[in-house]
Amino acid sequence: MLTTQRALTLQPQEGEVLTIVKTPGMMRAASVKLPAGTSIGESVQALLRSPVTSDGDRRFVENLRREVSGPHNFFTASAGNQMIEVMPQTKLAEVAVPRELSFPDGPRKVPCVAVEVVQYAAVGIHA
Amino acid sequence: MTSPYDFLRLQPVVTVGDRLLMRGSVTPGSGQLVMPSGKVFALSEFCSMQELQMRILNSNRKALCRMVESAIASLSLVGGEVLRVVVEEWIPAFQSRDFGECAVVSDAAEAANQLSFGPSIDSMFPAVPVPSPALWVHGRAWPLVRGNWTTSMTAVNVGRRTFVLSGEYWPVSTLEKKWQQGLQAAATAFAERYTGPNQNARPSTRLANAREQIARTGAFEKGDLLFLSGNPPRLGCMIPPHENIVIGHVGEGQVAITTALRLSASTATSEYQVYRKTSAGRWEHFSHILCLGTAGHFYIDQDPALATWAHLRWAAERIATNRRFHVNDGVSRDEENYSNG
Repeated sequence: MLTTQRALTLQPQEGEVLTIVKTPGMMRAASVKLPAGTSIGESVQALLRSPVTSDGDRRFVENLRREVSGPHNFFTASAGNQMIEVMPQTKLAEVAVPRELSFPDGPRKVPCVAVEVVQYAAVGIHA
Repeated sequence: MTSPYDFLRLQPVVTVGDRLLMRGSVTPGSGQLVMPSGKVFALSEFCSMQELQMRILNSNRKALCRMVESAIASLSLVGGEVLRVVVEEWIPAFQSRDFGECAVVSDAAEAANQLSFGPSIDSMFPAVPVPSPALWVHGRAWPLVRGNWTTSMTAVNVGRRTFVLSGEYWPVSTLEKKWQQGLQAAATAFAERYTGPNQNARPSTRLANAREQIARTGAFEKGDLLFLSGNPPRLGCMIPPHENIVIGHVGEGQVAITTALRLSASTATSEYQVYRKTSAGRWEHFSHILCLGTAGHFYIDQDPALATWAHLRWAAERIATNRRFHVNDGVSRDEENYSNG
């Protein structure tokens, strides 16, 4: 189940990765916990299929669906917060970075993948 | 800057209490303008004074932002509050967009929202002096006083009250000049909040590091975000590593796309410039025409600085995926490859 809520309630268990997905134009990302063996492309598809429970979630899914409606690319944030292009088949475990996040029971370091989805727009006939 | 007295195009105009009346017969009954000849014109309500002030603000907001930017540009920037805001508020707030809902970062995001220029720029906007009751005609505001109409007098009837000219007047140009002086003073005061060093506050470690980095290289880097000091300062975003048709291999943190710091969200790619890091670690302008294709959907109502960075990151990622800066980049090479089979 995805959440765009500010309070982080998705505590990944052993073998799971907290996947945070957004597009460059979004102010807030959506988070979902997924098995570490899931690929980036599958993660985004999983988010699109997730049941929405709020207006924020619905807007998120609409925006994400618009972004992936055509050719698109994936970027993930490295440990140094640099954006790196990744292939859709890249596994979450390969790009997960431990980040300290605050949970209801206190701050904890959990494996995270920050994914940015960017729609590809050719700039010309040779692109 | 649009003249705040643009409503005088509708003259004669009457201001009474909280209302602006104009000549017209659409909704007659609000008032009457009685000319010296005895001819009577119906006055109808155009808008309230509050609406008038809002209209003036809305039509001048962009110009107002430019005015503050210009004030900021004329003040010293390095080591000033702009850097503090960038380092301590904007960067954590922007990065919280990527990494979730960490409480600490969320707090910073809240703080950045409070610091956003957009809403606060409205509060600095001085009210336009609109004397009331007054008759606005021939480029002057003529104050009205209660009285009785007699032949050869101009009068205004509103409800059961009759107003006549007091005999004084204010040229609109004088009122406008006074307002603009107040505006300039407010813009400078506003800019000083972001540029004047805060003598009382001890710089945080983050800020001290940023100042040290700027003194050394003229820039501050944090993740894929970049701040270039200068006049005006520039916000930038690193272009992700890729093989570029124009400059070959782009390593991590080597090339960035930047734009001048604006107080309003800037998504004008015509103002974007590419910067490259030299071997000495300094950033220099790399002159190249940009063509980024169609932009995606953006929430441009967010904090201006964050919206600008979001757009810059989009542009950086677009360049990395396109592997070129412009549609014509590498055309000849492609054609050559094509002709070679």
